[in-house]
Amino acid sequence: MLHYLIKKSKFLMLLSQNALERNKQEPSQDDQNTPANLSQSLKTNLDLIKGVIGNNYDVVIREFSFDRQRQVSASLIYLSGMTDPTIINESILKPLMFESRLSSDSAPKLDDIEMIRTTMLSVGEVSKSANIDEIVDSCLSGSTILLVNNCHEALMIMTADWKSRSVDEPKTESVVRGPREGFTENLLTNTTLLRRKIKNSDLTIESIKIGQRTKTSVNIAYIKGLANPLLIEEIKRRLNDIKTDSILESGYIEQFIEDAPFSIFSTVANTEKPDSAAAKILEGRAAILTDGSPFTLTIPMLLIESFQCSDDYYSRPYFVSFIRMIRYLAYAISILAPATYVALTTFHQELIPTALLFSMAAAQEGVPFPALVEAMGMGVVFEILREAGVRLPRPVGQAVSIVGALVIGQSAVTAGLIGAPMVIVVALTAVASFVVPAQTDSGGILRIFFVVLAGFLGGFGIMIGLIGLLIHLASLRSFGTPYLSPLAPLSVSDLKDSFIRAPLWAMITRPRTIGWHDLKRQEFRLKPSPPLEEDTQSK
Amino acid sequence: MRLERGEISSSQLMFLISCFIQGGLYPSSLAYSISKHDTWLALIAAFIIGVFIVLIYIALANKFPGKNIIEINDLIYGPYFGKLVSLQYIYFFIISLSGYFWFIGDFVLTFIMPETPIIVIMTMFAFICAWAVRKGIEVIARLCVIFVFLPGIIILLTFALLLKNMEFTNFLPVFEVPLEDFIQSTNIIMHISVCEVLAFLMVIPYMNKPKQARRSVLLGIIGGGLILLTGTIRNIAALGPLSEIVTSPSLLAVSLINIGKIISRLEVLVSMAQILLLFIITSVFYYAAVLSVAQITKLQSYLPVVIPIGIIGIFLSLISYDSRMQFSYSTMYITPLLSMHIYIAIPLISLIVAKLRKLPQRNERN
Amino acid sequence: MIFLLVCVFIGVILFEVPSLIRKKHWRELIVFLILLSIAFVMAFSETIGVKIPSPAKGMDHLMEDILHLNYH
Repeated sequence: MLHYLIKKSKFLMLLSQNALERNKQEPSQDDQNTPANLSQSLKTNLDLIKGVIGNNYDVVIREFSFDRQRQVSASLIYLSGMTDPTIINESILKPLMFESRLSSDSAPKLDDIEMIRTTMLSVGEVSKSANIDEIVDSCLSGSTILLVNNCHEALMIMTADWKSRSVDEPKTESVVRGPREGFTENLLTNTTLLRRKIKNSDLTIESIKIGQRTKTSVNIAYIKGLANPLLIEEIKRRLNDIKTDSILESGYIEQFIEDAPFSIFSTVANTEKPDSAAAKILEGRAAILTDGSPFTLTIPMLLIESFQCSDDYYSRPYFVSFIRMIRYLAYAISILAPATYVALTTFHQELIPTALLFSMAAAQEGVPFPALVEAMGMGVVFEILREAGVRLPRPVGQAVSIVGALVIGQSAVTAGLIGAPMVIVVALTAVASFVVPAQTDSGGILRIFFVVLAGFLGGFGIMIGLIGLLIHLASLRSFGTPYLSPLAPLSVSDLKDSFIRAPLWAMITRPRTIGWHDLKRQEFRLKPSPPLEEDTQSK
Repeated sequence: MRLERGEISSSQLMFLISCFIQGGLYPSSLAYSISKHDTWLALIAAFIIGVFIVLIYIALANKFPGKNIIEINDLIYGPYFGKLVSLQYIYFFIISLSGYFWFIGDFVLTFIMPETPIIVIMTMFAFICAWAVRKGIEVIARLCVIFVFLPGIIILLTFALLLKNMEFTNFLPVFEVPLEDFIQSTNIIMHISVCEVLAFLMVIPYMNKPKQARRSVLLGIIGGGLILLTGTIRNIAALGPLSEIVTSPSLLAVSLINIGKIISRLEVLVSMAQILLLFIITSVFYYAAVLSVAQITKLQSYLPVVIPIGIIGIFLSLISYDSRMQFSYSTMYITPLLSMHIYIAIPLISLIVAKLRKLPQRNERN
Repeated sequence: MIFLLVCVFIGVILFEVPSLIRKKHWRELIVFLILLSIAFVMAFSETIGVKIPSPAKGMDHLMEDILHLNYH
C-alpha cells in the first residue's frame, strides 16, 4: 500500500514536470516538419498543400491556366460541400479563364497576385497570405485557395456556404408574446440577428478563435461606452487563457471562464433568443456567441435574471408582477417542499393542523419506510422519469410520461410503498421545478440537500441549510458584480425589476451594478396619459 | 497590513446593528421576572443610557479611524499594558460567543427539538457561523440586509393580530417595581442587547465612509430599539402577569393568536426569525473574537484561527453552563455588574487617556 | 466518541494546514496549532468526563462570594 502510494506520487511529480517542460518548449515545435511559407513554383506549393489536406474525400483541386499570351498556370483548391459552387464558377473561374482571353496584347501582366486580387476577382472577401497554416485554416473554413505559378503568395477567397438549420422558434425558451426567432448554429446568422436588434454603431463585435483542434470562432458583443471596459478586458483575458483541444459548444466556454466552478449556481447566463440577448447587452452586459451553438452566454449574471423572462417586458406590468412572485414561490416550493414535508412528519408533528394530521397519519399507516427514505426514493424516480422523457424518441414519449406519472404513482400508493401525501408533494415539487428553467440544475441538488438536512435535524436543519445557502449566494460574484445584486448590496432603485416589474415608463435607469457607465435609459416623464383638455380644445 | 480586505457601507452597518439589537428580544425575557410589567420602561431607560455609552465607543472609533480596538489599545496604553487590556476584550468576546452558542442550543432544544443532543445543534450552528466568518464581514453585512426586515414585519404582524388579546390594564400600575429592581432590570437589558455594540468596534474601521459611523450606529440602535419595544409591549399587554413566569413570553404570546383556526401556530415564524437574528449576533461576536486574536498575534489573515476558536467556544459553553437555571441566575444577578467593567469602565478610561495623551499624535500617520 | 473527535480534529488539520504550508505562513501555523491544541485538550477532557474548571463559573464565584458585587 505504501509502495503504491510512493509510486503514485512519483508518477504525479513526473507528470507535472513534463507538463512544465512541454509548456516551455511549445512555441518552437510547431512547424518543424513542413516549411512555413510557399515557394515560387506552383508544383511545390501544390504538393505542400496536398500533403496537408490532399487526402480527403471532399477536397477538389482544379488546375487551369489563363492569360492568353503567357498561359499562366494556376490551381484552385477548395472543399466541396463547404463552398458555394456558383461563386467559384461565376466569380473566380469565369473571370480568370474567359475574360483574360479577351484582353489585348498590351494588357498588363497577370502573374502578379496583387493584380489578380484587385482587378480580376468579383468576390467580396479576398485576402492573401504566404503562410501554409493560415492558408490551410482558411480552406478548412470554406475559402477557396488560388495558387498561381511564380507567385509566392496565395489568395484566400471567401466562398463559404453550407447547409444549416433555419431560424426557428427556440425549443428551450417558449414565450407567449414576443419574437419567436432563435439563434442557430451559424455564427454569422447569429451575429446578424443580434445586429438587427441593435442598429447602433456602438455595438462592437470582436472575434477570437479558441480551441487548438477545432479553431472555433467566438464573438464578443458589447456596446462600447456602456459596458465596463474592465469587464471586457477580463473576458478577453479569460478567453485567451483557454488552451484546450476543442470548443464544441458555448457550455465549454462557460465552464472555462466561470467565476465559481465549485458552486452549484452558474455565474454565466445563457439564452437562445436574440431579443433576450439584445436586452442584456443594452443593460451593459457582454454577450459571447459561439460558432456551432445556438446558446449565447451573457456576462455578468445576477440571480434575479433566472426569474426574469423576456416576455415579462412585452406585457403590461400588473399580471406580470404577480407571475414573477409566483415564480419565486415556485422555486421556493421546488426546493423546500419535500424537505418541509419530511421535517413536519418526522420531527414537528405538532405543527400540522389536527384534521390534516389524522388523515396523514392514516395514509402513513402501512408504509414501511421513514419519510426521509420515501422522499429520496420519489425524488430519484422523478428524475429518472424526467431524464427519460428528454431522451426518448418522440412517438414513445407521450406514453411513458403518462405511464410514469399516473400508473407508477398510483400503484405505488396502492401497494403501500409510499404514502399518498408524499406523491402529492413530489408531484407539486416536480411541476414547480419547471417554472424557473434556468435553475433546474441547482434546484435539483438543493432539493436533495434540504431533504437530507431535514431528515436529520428537522426544522432547524432547514433553517441552517437556508442560512448556508444565503451565505454562499451572498459571497458569490459574477465577474465582479455581486450575485445577489439588487438585494444584497441594497440598491433600492434596482428593486424595480426584481420581485415585481415596474412599468416600462418607470424604468429610468439601468441596473446600477452593471450599467453604471451610462445610467440613464430614458427620460423621466414618460408616463402615458390622454392629452389634457386645453390641448384638444385649442384646435 | 489590513487584516480584513472587505468594506461595508454605512447603510449595511445600520442594518447590521439593527439586526443585532432586534436579536435581543428573546434574551431580554430574562428581565421580565425582575421588573414584571414595567419591563418596557426598563427597556427605554436601557436604550437611553445605552445610547450615551455607545457614543463613547463611537468617539473612540472616530479618534483612530481605520483601526480596530486592539490596535487602539496598543496605541493608547503602550505595547505591554495595551495587550493586557486587549486580552480582556478577547476574553469578553469568547465568553459572549460561548454564551450565545449555549443560548441557541438551549433555544432549539427547548422549543423546537427536545431530543437532540445539544452538541449537535451547537456544532451545526457553529459550522454555519464559521463559514460566514470565513467569507468575511462583507458577506455577513449582505446577509443582514436580507434578514433585517423580516423580524420587524413579523413583530408588527403579530402585534396587529394580538390586538384583541391585549389589555392595557396589564401595564398598570406604572412604576410599581422598586427602584433597585428597576435598575437591575435596566442593567440586564443593557448588558444583553445594547452594550454588545462594543463588538462593532472591530467592524467599524472597515466602513468605506467612516464619518457616517455615528449616524449609522445610532439609527441602527434606534430602529432595533423600537422593534424591541414593540415586541415587549406586545408581550406584556397580551400576557399580563404571565409574562414574568414563562420562559419565553414572545413565543407564548404569539401562540395565543388563533384567528379563524387558520392563522395559528405563528410561533414557528417567531422562532425562525429568532434563529436568524441569533445567527447574525453569533457571527458578529465570532468575527470580533477571531479578528482580535489575529490582530493581537499579528497574523496576515484570520482564516486559520476561525475553526479553533469555534471549537473552543463550543466546549467552553458546554463546561460553563450546566442548565438554563444557572445561565439565567448568572445573567440576571451576577454578570450585569461584571459587564459594566468591560462595557463602561474600560472604554471610558481609554477615551480619557486618549484625550489626555492627545492621541492620535500628528506624527503617527500610518 | 473519542474516535469521532480525533477524526474531526484530523479533518480540521488536513483542511487548514496544507494551504498554510504552501503559502509559508509560519506564524499563522503556530497560532493555529496552539489554539487547536487548547481546543483539543478541552474537547478531550469533556469527552472523557474530566471536569475542567470553567472561567465563567470562576468569575461568578469571584463576584458573588468574595466581592459580593451582585444583585439579590
